[in-house]
Amino acid sequence: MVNPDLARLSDTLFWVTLAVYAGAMLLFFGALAYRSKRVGSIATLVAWGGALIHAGSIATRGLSVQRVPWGNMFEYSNMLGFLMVMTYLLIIDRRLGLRQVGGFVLGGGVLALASARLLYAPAGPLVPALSSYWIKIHVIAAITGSNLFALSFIFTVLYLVKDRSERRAATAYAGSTVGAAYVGGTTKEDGAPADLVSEEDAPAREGSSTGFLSRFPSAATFDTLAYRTIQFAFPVWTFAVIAGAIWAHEAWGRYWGWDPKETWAFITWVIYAGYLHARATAGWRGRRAAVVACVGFASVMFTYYAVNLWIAGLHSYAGVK
Amino acid sequence: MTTTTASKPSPIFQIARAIWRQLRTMRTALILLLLLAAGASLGSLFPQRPINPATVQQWISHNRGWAPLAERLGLFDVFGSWWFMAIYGLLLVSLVGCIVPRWRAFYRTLRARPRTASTLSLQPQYRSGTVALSPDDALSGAERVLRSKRFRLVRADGTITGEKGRLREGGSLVFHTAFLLLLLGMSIGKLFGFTGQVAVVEGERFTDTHIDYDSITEGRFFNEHFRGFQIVLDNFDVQWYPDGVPKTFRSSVRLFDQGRLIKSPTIEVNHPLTYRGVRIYQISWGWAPVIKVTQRGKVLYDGPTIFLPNQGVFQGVAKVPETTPFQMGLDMVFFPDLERDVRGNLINGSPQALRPVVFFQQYLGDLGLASAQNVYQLDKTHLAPAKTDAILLGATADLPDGIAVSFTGLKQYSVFELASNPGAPLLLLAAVLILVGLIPALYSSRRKIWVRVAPHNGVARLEIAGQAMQRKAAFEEEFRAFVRDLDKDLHQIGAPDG
Repeated sequence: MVNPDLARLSDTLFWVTLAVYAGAMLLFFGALAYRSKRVGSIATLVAWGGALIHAGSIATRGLSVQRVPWGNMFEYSNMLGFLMVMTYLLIIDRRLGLRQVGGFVLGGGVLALASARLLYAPAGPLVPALSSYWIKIHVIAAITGSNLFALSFIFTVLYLVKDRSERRAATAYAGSTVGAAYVGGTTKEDGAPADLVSEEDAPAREGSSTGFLSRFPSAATFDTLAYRTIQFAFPVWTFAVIAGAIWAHEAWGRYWGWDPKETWAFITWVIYAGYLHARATAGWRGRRAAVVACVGFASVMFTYYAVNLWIAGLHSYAGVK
Repeated sequence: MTTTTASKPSPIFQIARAIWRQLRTMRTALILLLLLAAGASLGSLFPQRPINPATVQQWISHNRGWAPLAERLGLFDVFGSWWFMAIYGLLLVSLVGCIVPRWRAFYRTLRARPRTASTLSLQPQYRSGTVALSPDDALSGAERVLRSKRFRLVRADGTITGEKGRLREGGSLVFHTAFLLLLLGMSIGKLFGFTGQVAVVEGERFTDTHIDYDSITEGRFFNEHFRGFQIVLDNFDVQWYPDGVPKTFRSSVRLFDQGRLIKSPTIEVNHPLTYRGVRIYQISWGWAPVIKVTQRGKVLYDGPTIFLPNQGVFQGVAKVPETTPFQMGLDMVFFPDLERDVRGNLINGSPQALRPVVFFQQYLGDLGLASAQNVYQLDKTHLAPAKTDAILLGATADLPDGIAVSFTGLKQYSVFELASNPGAPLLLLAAVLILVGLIPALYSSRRKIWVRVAPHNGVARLEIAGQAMQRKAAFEEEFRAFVRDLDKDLHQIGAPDG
C-alpha cells in the first residue's frame, strides 16, 4: 500500500530540494548585492534545478501513497513551496523579468519547506474524511490561493519599503511628502496604479531612491504587482471557500458550521475583500491598503498554521503527532 | 446642495438621510468588512456554545472573573450575537444602498448609446492624420476594425463611438447581488430544513419520526414534515490501516418506505445517501456491548447498550429499575482492546475489539426515573455506589442479592445525521454567481474609442481618441494596436498620408 522505497526517495529529494533552494536564494541575493547579471542567471538555473528535484520529490511521494500528495500539513507546505518557486520561475522571472525578487520568493520557498519539515508526517494513506475527489479541488485551490497571497505579501512589503525610501528621497530633494507612487498620474480612479510596465519603459514613473533600493523597480510597480496578484488570488480563494462548503455539505451534512478553519478562511476572505475596497477608497489607497494586505496575509498564515496546530476543529488533519 | 426649498425637511429626516448617505459610501463598507473580520476572529478564539458547549463550561470555570462579561458580550455565541448580526446587517444595508442605484445606472448605460465626446483631442489617447479616402469609406473602415475587436458601436455625424467592457460593472453587480441570494438561501435552509442525529445499533431499525431522533434541530416552518421512512442497520464495518489509522467506516443499511424495501445501499463518510430530499450521512460510530442483568434467574435487562466515546474509552450506563430491594444503575466503561501501559495504567491498545472488557460501578438506590433524564447518564442524587467489577466478553459477574451482570455479546452502532436543506440549490446558484461575477469585475475594464472623420482638402482627416476607466497602461497598448490595425485596413483601400 505505502511503497517505502519511493517514500524514502521522496524524503531524500526533499532534503536536496531544500538545500538547492537555499543555495539559489543566496545566489539571488548575491546577484542583487553585486549587480551581477551572470550570478543572477546562475541563480535562476539553480532554482530551476531545485524545482525539478522538488517535482520529483512530490511525484514520488504521491506514487508511494497512491493518492494526491497534499493530504497533510507536511505535504501542503511542501506543495506551497513548490508553487511559489514555480510561479516565480514561470511568471515573475520569465514573463515580468523581475529577477530582483528572486531571493525573496526563494526565501519564502525555503521557509515553506522548513515549516513542512517541522510538520513532517510519514507517507501514509488518507483518513476516510479526506477520501473524496474534493480533496483535489478544494485543497489545490487553497494552496494556489495561499501561494498567490504569499507572493502578494512579498510585493506588498517591497512596495512599503521602496515607497518609504522614495518618499524620503522626494522629501530630501523636493520637499514633497507624497510618495512616488502618486506622482505623475500613476494612481487612477479605481485606485489602481498604471499597469505593470516592464522596466525598460518605466523610468518616467520610477521614483528615485538611493543605495541598495535603487536596484529595485519603483514602488508603483510593486504596488501594481501586489494588486494584480491579489486580484488573481481573491477569486481563487473564493473558489476554495465555496468548494470547501460544498465538500462540507457532502461529508458533514452542513455547508457551513463556523468551524475554526471555516471561520478563518472567511476572515481572510473578508480582509482581502476589504483590501479590494480600500484600493477604491480615497484616503485608503497606497500605504493603508498595503497594511490591510499585510493583515490579510497574517490571516492566511493563521488560517493555515495556527488553526491546524492550536485550535481543535474538524480540519485537524495536520498529521502532526 | 445649493438649492433651497421652501419647506425645509425635518431635522430627523436630514439626519437619517445623512446616515443613509454615509452608510452607502465605500469607506463605510470597508470599515464594516474589517469589523466583520475582527468580530469573526473572536468566534474562533473563544469556545462557541453551538459548536462545543462542554469547552464553554470549561472556559467559564477556569475564568470565573471574566466569564460574566464574556457571556454578556455574547462571546460564547459570536455568530448569533446581536453585535455580530448588527455588523452584517449594516453591511447588507450598505450593500443594498450601494447596488440599487448602481443597477439603475447600469440599466441606463445598457440602454444608452455610447456618448460622443465633443473634443477628441482632450482625451488621454489621441492621434490624428489624413487618408486619401472619402470620409465615408474611412469611417466604414474604422467601423470594420472596431467591430472586429468587438466594440459596441454608434455611428453618427461623421463620428464612430466604440465602447467595451461593460461586463466589469455588470460582473461587480452580479457578484454583490449574489450575496442577497446567498442570504435568502441560508434563510430558507434555516426556516424549512431540519437536522437530526440518531445512533442505530447493528440489527436495529430507525424510523424518520420526531421521537426516534436522539437530537434534532427543526426550522420554524419545517412543520414536522418527516418522511417516515425506515432504516435498518444490517452491518457496520470499520477497517483500519496497520498503524491504527481508520480506513473505512461503512454502514450497510436497508431503506424501507411504507413497508416496501426501496434499496440496500451503503453509507460512508463522503458518500451520503439521499432519499426524498433527506441526506443521510455517516457521522460517527461506537461500541454497543450486549449487557444482560438477571436477579435470581429472572432477566431484568438484556440488550445492546450504546457506549459513547470519551477520551479514548467508551462510556455507557444501564438503568435497571426492577431489581430489589433497591433500583440498580450501572456506570460502565468499555475497552475494546485492554492493555496496560508502562506505568501500569489501563489503556486501549488499539481501536479494534481484540480484548474487549467492560468495567462497571454498581449503584443502588433510586434511579429517579419519574423525571425526564438523559439516557446516557445516571442521576446519582439518590444512588449510592456499591460493587465494582470487570467482565470479559462472555463472562458474568455475580453481585449480592442474587444479581448477575453478563457481557454476552458485542455489537457496533453507527451514528447518522439526517438533514434536509431546501435552501441548498439557491446557495449553489449564489456561489456560482459570486464566481461568475467576480471574474469580469476584477479583470475587465471599461474603455472607449472614438473615430471622427472630416473632409479635408479632398481627403479625409481622421481623429482617433481613446479613454479607459481602468487598466490604462494596458489600454495604451490596445489603442496603439487599434491605430495600427486601422492604418493597415485603410491602406488596403487607399494610401494614407499622415
